[in-house]
Amino acid sequence: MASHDLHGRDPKALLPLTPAVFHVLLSLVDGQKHGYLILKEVAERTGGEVELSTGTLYGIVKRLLADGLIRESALGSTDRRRAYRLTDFGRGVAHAEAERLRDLLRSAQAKALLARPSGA
Amino acid sequence: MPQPSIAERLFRALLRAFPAEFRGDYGDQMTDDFRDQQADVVARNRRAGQWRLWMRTIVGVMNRAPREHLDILRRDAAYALRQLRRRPAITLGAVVTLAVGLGLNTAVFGLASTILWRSLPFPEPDRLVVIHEISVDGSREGTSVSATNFADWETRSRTLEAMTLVGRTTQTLLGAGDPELLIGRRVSRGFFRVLPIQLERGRAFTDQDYAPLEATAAGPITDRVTPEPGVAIISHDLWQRRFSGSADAVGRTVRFGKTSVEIIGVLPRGFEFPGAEEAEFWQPMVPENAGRRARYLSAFGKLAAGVALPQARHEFDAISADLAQLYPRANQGFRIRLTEWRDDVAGPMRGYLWLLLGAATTVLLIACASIGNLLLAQASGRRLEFATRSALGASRASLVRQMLTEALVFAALGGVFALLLAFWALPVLTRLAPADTPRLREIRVDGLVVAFTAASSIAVGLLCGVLASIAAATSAQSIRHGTGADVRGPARRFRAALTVMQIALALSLAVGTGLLTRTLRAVAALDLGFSPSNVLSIGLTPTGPQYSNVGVKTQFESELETRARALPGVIAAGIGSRPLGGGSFLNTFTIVDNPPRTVDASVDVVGPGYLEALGARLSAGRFITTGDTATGPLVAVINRAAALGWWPGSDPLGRMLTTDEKRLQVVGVVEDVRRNNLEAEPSPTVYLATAQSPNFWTNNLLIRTSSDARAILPAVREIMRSIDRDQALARITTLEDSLREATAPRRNLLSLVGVFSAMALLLAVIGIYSVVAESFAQRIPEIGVRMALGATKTNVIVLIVRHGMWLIVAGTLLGLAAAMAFNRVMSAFVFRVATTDPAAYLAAVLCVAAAALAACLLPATRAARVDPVVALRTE
Repeated sequence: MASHDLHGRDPKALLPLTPAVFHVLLSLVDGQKHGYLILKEVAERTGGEVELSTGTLYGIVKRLLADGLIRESALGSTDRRRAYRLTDFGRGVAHAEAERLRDLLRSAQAKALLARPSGA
Repeated sequence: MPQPSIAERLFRALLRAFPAEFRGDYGDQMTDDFRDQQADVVARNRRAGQWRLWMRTIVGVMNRAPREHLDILRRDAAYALRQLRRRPAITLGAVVTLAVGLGLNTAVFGLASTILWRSLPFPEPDRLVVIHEISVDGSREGTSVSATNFADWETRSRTLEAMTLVGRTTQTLLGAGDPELLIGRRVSRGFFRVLPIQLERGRAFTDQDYAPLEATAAGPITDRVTPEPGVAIISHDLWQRRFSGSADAVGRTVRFGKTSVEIIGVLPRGFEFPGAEEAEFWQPMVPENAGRRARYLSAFGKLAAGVALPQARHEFDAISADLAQLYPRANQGFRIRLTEWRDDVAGPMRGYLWLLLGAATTVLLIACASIGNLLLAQASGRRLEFATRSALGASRASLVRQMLTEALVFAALGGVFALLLAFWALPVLTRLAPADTPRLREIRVDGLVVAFTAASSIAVGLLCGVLASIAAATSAQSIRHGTGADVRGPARRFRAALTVMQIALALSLAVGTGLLTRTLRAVAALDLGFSPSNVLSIGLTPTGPQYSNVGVKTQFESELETRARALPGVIAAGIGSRPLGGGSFLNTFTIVDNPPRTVDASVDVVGPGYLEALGARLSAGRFITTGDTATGPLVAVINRAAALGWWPGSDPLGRMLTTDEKRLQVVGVVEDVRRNNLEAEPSPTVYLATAQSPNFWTNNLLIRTSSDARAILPAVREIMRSIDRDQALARITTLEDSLREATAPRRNLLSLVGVFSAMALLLAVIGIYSVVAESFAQRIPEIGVRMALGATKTNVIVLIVRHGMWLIVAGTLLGLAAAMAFNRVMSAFVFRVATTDPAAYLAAVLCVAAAALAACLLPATRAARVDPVVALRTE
């Protein structure tokens, strides 16, 4: 479903993503979040394996905003923080990365490097 | 609002590692997130969690912050490049200006750094010293030492771990083809301990090589044939040239004159002994016991490990005091001076190099002013852009950063082209350097030179960028505050100041060029005391044992003179010293008078016909003739300096001199002949007859012809072959060529400074043109009004030129002041010209003012052609 954005950019052109970038995009797939929630979601989802620092997070956020993968909006009048959510293009890029990883995984399985999950 | 916690304040401090822009965008959010993370950790009451959070945060910042800075730099640079591409003419001008300024500096730095600062290319160069004997009263800046004194130093010194003597020698290499005269050096035992160099092939000298020489040297000096060493180490070049680099050259026996010499080693490629760059072979030497007063050898030493130079100096002061007491006749009034070898090599070049560095820096300063000027001009043209960016939230800091980046991009481009230019210019500089410049072959663009270019590019970029960014920030602000009308004022004044500075700098360089030009003319106008046209000079090499017999040498010389004189077209021929070369000895004479007086004089031993061939002018008496034979009365011809100094106001002819128990009668007086240092006042000189001075070596044949002197050369070769097949003719040149060579350093210095000066003037002219042109552009509407009201074209031209005029006047006055302030520097480079020479100053002022005025006239005539209707419409 890799869809081109308004400027005709191909999501695949941005691949591969770094794991940190992919995790940030992944954490936004189910809705908008502000920075702290992104950090928290990534840490919980990976069982504490991936813990991003605020510096790393906002470096990524800046790039994703500039590349049009996410959009920001104010949370409310009391909170200085802004919430971030995926654009269609961003979702397309995340999807393309996921497909890329899946294909990689399949190759590893075909070589019997990894066992296929039962029922697959 | 609650007080921020210590942790939060620490976190905020940490955030300062990020660029201000990034902080502005995300700082608050990051702080809030961090606070939440902290609260989370505290809620779970985990101390280890605290530490991990901090570590993660710090590493994250350290990792991310540099990337953010780089990101901004990249963006600014891309923006700057877009800006530069949009104005290709200005960009090209700026880059060329910088490339020229930086390139000249790079090339001069390459030359200077090698000679002044780079370590000698030998093992442990910082421990190498040169040992001189100098006279305490400073009258003799001696460079040579006495071998006998040296032997004492060698036994007494503890601070030098090795010492060596080096003496010049020549040998005629015989073999296939014409005999070839080679220049070499003979070295005493310690040589390879002072310079433990790795030979390309073969071995260094050993005690066995010195033993046969030692046995003979110990004997009495009279009536003994000087022993010739039987081994030699040859240079890499000679090995390639005469032995085709063949492996079996080492071990081969060749003939040096009549002596068989075994080649025992080959020096590594590129080995050059400072001051003996032309040496092609090296032989062992055991100096003969010629007495402590015979100071004719160079001495070098190596400091013992851990010994500093002052310590060694201290020790040698004591040694020299002791030797002066033991041998007062030879050593009273002399002391020993130790100098770091590298500094000794650089010594004579220091002034020359600093002058070039000064000239190159001046050009660079002018180039900087040009770039600053250009960026300022741009800044006033880009006011709207700055104001817009400023209104869109760009901080003053980001505008400054943008301008700095633009200047640095200019400088980086300029630096790259400067390096390319330096690659081309360095060989030119090397060619134009005085012929005796040391270490020329080592000069190249190396890491240090590249680092210098990089550092000076950055410095220039920062300097220009700061200038321009101040203007940019001011103009942006003033537009925002609605005071746009005045902002060009400070920038314009600043630009005017820069232009004044450029004119001043260009003028001071032009004054320098003027002084050097006048000096060259003064040198050309010198009375040489001889006439150089149509004279061939040929070096002779009557070396080897067969010529040590007095009769054979005299026979050889007289036969050569007679047969050369008989050649068609020859006006005069004779044997003597090399004109404009060294080769004169200093000797002490006693004037037979009441009471007798002793005087020092140069001695030149000449054959009949030599002074005539040289074109020396006789002012009284006669020249040396064939009648002055070994058995006849001993005669002397003296120069005017001797005549005036020794017998002021009376006739020197017929007076008597004694030296070495010989009585000489003065039979002639010649006008002073200038020698190797053309500019030195001729000292008293005594010309003796070759036939009457069998122990002196004369080594040059002079032939004066009626037309082209070189045409006689084949005939001379033929004569030489028939007299002695094994003689090489060396140093074949005409006196005109020698004279050109002698004045080359001055001419070359003048052309270098002249080129620098021309560049400086060109840059200054471009500077003044751009300032006047810009002011013209701004005044087009005003000019339109004036013309509509009846102003003539001349009125308009005067209006525009007047604006440039005061820049020229101010620059000229400042430049004159600068030139006067620096005239002490120039005093080392002028000859028979005052450093305040009015003609040089006037010429420089006229030249700079005319060029600057021309630069003003160009926009002025354009202004005069303005159509009032069009001009008024631009308002």
